[in-house]
Amino acid sequence: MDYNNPFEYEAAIKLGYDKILDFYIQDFNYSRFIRSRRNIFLVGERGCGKTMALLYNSLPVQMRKAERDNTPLNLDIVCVHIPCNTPLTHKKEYQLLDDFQASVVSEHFLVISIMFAIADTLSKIPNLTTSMNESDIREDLKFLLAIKLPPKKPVLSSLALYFQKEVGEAQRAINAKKLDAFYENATSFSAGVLPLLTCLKKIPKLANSHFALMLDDAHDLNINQIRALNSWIAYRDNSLFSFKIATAKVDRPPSLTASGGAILEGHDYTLIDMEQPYQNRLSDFGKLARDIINRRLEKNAIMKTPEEFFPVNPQFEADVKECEDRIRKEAAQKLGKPTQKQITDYVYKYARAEYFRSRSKKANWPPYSGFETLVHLSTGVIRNLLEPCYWMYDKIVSEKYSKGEKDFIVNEIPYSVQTDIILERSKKKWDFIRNGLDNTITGCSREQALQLYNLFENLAILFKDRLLKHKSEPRAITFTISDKEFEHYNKLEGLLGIARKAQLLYTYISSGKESGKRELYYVPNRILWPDRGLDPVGQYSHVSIKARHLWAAANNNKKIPFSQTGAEEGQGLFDNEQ
Amino acid sequence: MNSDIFITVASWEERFWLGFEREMNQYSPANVLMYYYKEYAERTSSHREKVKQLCEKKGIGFHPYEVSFKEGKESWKILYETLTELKVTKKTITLDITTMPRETIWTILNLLDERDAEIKYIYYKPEGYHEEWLSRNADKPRIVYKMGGIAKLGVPTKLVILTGYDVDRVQQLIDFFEPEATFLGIQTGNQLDNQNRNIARHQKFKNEPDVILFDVDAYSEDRGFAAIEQQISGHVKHLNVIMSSLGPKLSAIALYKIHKRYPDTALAYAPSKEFNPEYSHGIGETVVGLL
Repeated sequence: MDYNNPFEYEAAIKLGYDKILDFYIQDFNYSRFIRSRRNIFLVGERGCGKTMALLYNSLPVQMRKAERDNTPLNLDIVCVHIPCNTPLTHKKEYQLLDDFQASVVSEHFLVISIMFAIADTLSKIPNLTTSMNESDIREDLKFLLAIKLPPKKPVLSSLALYFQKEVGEAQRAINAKKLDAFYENATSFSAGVLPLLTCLKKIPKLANSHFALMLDDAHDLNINQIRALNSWIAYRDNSLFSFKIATAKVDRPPSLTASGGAILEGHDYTLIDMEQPYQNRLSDFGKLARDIINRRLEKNAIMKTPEEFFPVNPQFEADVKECEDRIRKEAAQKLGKPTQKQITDYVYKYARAEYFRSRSKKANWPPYSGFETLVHLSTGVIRNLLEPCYWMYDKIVSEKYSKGEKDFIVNEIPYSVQTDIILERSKKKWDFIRNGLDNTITGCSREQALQLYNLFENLAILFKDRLLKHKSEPRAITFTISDKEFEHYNKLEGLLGIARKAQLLYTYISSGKESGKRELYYVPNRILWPDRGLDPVGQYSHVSIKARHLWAAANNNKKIPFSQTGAEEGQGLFDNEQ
Repeated sequence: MNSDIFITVASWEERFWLGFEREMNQYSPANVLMYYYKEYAERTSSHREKVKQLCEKKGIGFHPYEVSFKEGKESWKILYETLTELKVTKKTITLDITTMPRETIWTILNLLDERDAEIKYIYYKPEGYHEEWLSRNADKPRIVYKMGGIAKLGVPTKLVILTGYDVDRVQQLIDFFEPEATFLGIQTGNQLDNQNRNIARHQKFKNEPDVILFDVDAYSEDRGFAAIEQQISGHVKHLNVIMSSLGPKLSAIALYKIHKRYPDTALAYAPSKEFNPEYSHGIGETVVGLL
């Protein structure tokens, strides 16, 4: 029997239509935006589900869905997936040209990629042009785009073929070993995509269609292409087409247009942050995580809930329960005549911390396990959720194989396996910070790699001190930065940018409870904490740390100041993020 | 004295100077073109001075040109201008690839291609490499100017990487290009601690679902050409193929030849911003070949 790992976490592009349909959880907050007529930016680092969301909505996957559901294909919104991380996008010959020629050639490649994707996507719809005379559309294409198509193939396949040929010719011209090798027949968005869409609207089945042009990994486009794209976004008539743009958060492309203007959030586009801080099982990400794991189990005929499949170590559960009882009693003593809510809050704040505090210093690492722990460890990123699950499942299957077992059912992941894999993945992450950053993260120097190692070490020490000794918010594992006037703040920001690129750190913007001010919150990847014996299950609070202290931690390996009662900084410590 | 041309890139490594001296003791070209990288100008200055003095002593035309890792566009233009100006008809051009970045090797070979000259390459092995690290501070991988092939639309990418000692850079290339599949060419043999520093370290990719490991020997007669060709020949027509070398310098020759035979393929360079001042020591065997 072959075992398909239910927690496959490969790039969505490799999954295939059926797996995308099987695995995708549609009810995301952002799903409805993708099938709207608005311009949308989906922003987030690798693994947060951007490509999956785009691909799920793409026409070929929707066709497969209609086929599976035995329903008619809805062509109201035609979503065309346009990958930008392609060898064509990475070509750099435009840099050898003057600014004007560089922008012309860059736009040409992007425009042809879009036109190809449109033609190629539509060519997959069976019988799209059967109710019309194809020669009409050929005539229009000839007139509007000066394209003469091969006569024997269906018009849309011919069109895709034509763009393939066109992009080849342009590259051959640009590859010429000359200083100013240019392509004279370059086209533009207004001379290419717009007339093409106008022609296609003459196909009766597309008469009422809106085209959603979904550019994936737009951060890979060159600066000329970004500017051109922003100019198209600024074109505010979204009746015919709109853009759905997936891009990384760090190194997000600039908002400048080709004419020097800028596109504005809210006005020209809606921004959706795909990284969602995990709060609790009822939060958006909590629900999403549950749905994802449920779906994966279901599709593999494993009739278990996520909690049953990833059971918690019973000893851990009992120990935490004991701590809760102890803390509940303590609450009654300390708070006078507390209300039920006060007791619940008190237990929420201190019970898990009590568990970590009461562990013997000689004890091994805590037995990390359970579905909820896995969700917390994901730090709100889908790939981070699936990855440890994948390796847990893989370990079970490998062990069974090595024992010669062939037919077996994996009905749960024993808690001991969960603990092993969680600790292994956590250790690996630290190894990555220690050894791999300057070799894998573009723009990270050896010095910065060492600084980041120091920084995360000192954050771990701070969070450990808090967990063991802090009197009010022991499990805060999120931080904000104060004192931004600090002279080396720019350097610190650069360092944090690298940490974000390396997915060691995530950010989100939220309002401080008391100040109401919009503030940037930093969440270190929680998979780091098991290796340091910390609790990855945080609480609704954050630590405000001065920029100078973070910098000293990074640059001079100095401990971040800590006091048991409050306040590393004396301000903002008790601001809740909710 | 003959009218041939010797092209090299200055380095602080011992083998650069020892190799140059060794070569000049055997023959005297008419001209030496020595490119040197701005970022390492200070580190290479004493060797450059020695090269200059030896050329003067032997009456060889000495032509130093500054290029830069950071300024790729300007550097390409310098290579273009200096190489297209060369009168090369019926001459032998010797390319010392020992300390020449792969991107520079490929660009020079590409610019000299189709010129009526015999092109010879020469490579001096070191006695050994630094035991801890060779390069770090990875910069963004880039497709080499004019050697990006013909990218097709709507098809997956296969990535070919010839591995070296920096295992993390393999991951960086995979993360950057996000190929459908990666073919990792692992240099065979025990030379220069290859077993521990290359073969053993790359075994971690063995279980990756989309990574295929294959053996390649850059020190063999064909520099590994046949082994690489076997991996890609079936894909070139229908897919995009990007190739990069992190392994033995001689493997860059094989990749260049593959690119020439399959012009749709792309060559990619994975730059580092920092090289170990003690990158290698001594000089070993000399490897010579004709293009």
